[in-house]
Amino acid sequence: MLELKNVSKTYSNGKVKAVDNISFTHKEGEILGFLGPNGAGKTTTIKMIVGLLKPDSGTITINGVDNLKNPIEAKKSFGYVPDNSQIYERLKGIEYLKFISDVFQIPSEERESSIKKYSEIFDLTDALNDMVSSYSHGMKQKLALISALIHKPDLFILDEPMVGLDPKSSFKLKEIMREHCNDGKSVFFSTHVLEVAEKICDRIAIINEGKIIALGTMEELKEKAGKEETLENIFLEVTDNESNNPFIED
Amino acid sequence: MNQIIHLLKINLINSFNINTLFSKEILKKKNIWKPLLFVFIIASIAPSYYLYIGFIENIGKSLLMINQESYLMVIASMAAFMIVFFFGIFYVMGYYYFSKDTDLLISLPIKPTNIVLSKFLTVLLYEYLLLGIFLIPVFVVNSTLTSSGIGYILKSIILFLSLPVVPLSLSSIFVVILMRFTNIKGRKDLFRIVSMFGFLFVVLGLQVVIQRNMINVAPGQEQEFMSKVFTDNRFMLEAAGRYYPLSKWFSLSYYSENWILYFSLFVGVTVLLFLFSLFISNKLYFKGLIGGQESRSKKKAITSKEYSLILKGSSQSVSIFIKDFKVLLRTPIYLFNCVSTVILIPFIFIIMPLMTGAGDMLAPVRRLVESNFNVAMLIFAGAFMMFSLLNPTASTTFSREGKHFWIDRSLPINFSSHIIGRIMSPMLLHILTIAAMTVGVNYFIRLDFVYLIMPIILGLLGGIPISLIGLIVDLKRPLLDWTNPQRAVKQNLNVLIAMAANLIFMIILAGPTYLLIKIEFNFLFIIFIDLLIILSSSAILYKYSIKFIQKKLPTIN
Repeated sequence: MLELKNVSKTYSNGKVKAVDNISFTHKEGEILGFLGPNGAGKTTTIKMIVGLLKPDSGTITINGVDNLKNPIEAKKSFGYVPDNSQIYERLKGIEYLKFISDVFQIPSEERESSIKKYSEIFDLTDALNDMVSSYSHGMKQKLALISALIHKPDLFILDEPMVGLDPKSSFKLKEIMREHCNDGKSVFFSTHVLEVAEKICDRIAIINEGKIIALGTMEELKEKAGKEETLENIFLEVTDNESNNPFIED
Repeated sequence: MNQIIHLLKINLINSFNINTLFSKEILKKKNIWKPLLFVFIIASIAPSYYLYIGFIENIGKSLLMINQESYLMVIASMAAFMIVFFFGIFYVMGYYYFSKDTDLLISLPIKPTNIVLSKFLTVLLYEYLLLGIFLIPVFVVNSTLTSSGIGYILKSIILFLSLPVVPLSLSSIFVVILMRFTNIKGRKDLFRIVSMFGFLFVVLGLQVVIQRNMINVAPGQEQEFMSKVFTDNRFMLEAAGRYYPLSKWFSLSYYSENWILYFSLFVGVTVLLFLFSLFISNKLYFKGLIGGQESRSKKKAITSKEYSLILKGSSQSVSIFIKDFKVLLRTPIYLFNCVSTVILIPFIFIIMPLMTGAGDMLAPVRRLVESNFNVAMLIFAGAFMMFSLLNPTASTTFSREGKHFWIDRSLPINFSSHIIGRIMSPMLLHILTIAAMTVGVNYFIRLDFVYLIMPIILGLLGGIPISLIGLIVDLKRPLLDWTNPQRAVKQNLNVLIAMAANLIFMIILAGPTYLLIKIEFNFLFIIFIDLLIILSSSAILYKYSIKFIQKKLPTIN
């Protein structure tokens, strides 16, 4: 579904390595949680996957399509929700969703049912006819979620999706993520909420200083840590103490 | 005082991108194009500026010949008032109300007066830049008519610094009052836009009527009028001074023996009006600002019928256009800068000539058009294209996206749809402008519509390469990092660069046309050549823009 091979990205003319030669594969029907401290390279990685940043080296393939060589085909396969959903303030919610439906060329009969379904789930039905400028941060986040879901993407990519969502919407989102994977599709998301990652992820990748320092199922991570630990403990261990990191192979 | 200086500094850094301007990055080899571009823009504007200086010199000489040299400073100050007042309304609107940094500032423990004052000073600095370009030649020419020396320079500096304060204070008072009292049930934007245009029309109309009455010579009294002009060297100054006392005082600060009196009057009134505007802003600014951030929320579910209407499918390009045009119409700053010409043109071409009686003066133009029909048609076509060249819609199309640009960039939009969708808004405005101009001009010249078909077709098609050039320029370096939408359209260098590039295109188009007319070539063949240039350049530019956007989209950080 999603494959990154030796992907690197630097900023400030190569002085700052944001992402350092990372490789991993994200399988179909799987929720992959992407964890890491602030500034570890999570958002940069996600932006490279969705085509907002160009990697300095390496390849990213989505559904077998290279996202640099054939960006439009690659973009058809995913729905993306950024960490800070900046949506046109001067459009109504429904107008924005119409724009997204047109871009993905969703058939007329499908777009209505899809929009209705997700706006009801996220409790946004009554606000769709209002300008986005009247929305709260959480409502904008919900609108971004709906817009990323209405075309039924094979890969659902989310950057810190729980930020700004109320508990009910967070719960619904987790349900949607699981259902999405049950349908044979995939979810790739970054988060700081370790409990969420621990509960719903099939596999977890931890990035620190631009490098993937741990990758596996919860059981695999525990096994590598050598003891029965929570994800929080594992996370703190691998990100704080790199020299004695049991996850980094010499 | 410290707070004001700090705020002013931040405003300037935000508004003029000073950090980038003075960064060491500019000295690097790959950035060498930046100063070169600056030189290119200056070089392309220099000939027009040279002509402008000559024009001012001629006015000065002509006024000297009829003994009315004091009128030069009256005209200059009146023009400056109008320029500052009109631009001031847009700037004040942008800086006071639509700048996103204001949200942050009001939450900090800063005195409201200091916020208002720093914003006023930022706009004022911008007006100084604008006025400096126009007025420095006037001050130089004026020194040849009166006196020169240190005293003249000092006096001119103080007068120059005072000049935009009065019109800017008036614009701030108008805008602050408008914003305070127009937050009607959340429909504020619409109401404000209508009020703004209404107000501008009233001021323009009033201006026209005043100027018509200012020097109104009754039939049969022409000789008396001329003798007054030659015997009384303040005749024209006094005539204008009845309506514009500040302009009179401004000029008499140079041309009167009691210049200290007039100088003090001018500076005194300036200070008083500035304080008054500050007082009004203090009273109303925050109420308008906080009220202005309320958005209307209907909280009403969409019916099934509405759903099917709203969600009717469109192609990618049409959808991009609809989104772009809606944002353009609903964002006051964009509306004023990109759409306002369409509204102002019928006013300038129909209502103003009607009010001033200038429409009657167009009768000779009609005869001229009829006698040089072919050339006139080409001039019309050129004029239509010039309006497209002056409109910033295409050259700010990506910049206007700002922080929302991630949306288009992360969606599977075909590259051709990006280009076609984004070219539609400037082209629609171009079509509307041509329609308004044609109706307006034809109201007075009354040409057979058949004659206008050719310039309309040429003018319309000419808009395509002009818009594409604007779009390519903006894509080259889109200005996306702004907090005030004003920056995306008004302070965007791309607008100037696109104008310069389009001027080159116009020269490429007009050059052969002129030569072929000169050698009296077959007119239809000239049209054919023009069409060929326009269509082939459109095709080349379209192909290039598609390749360019494909390469550029993933590299924009």
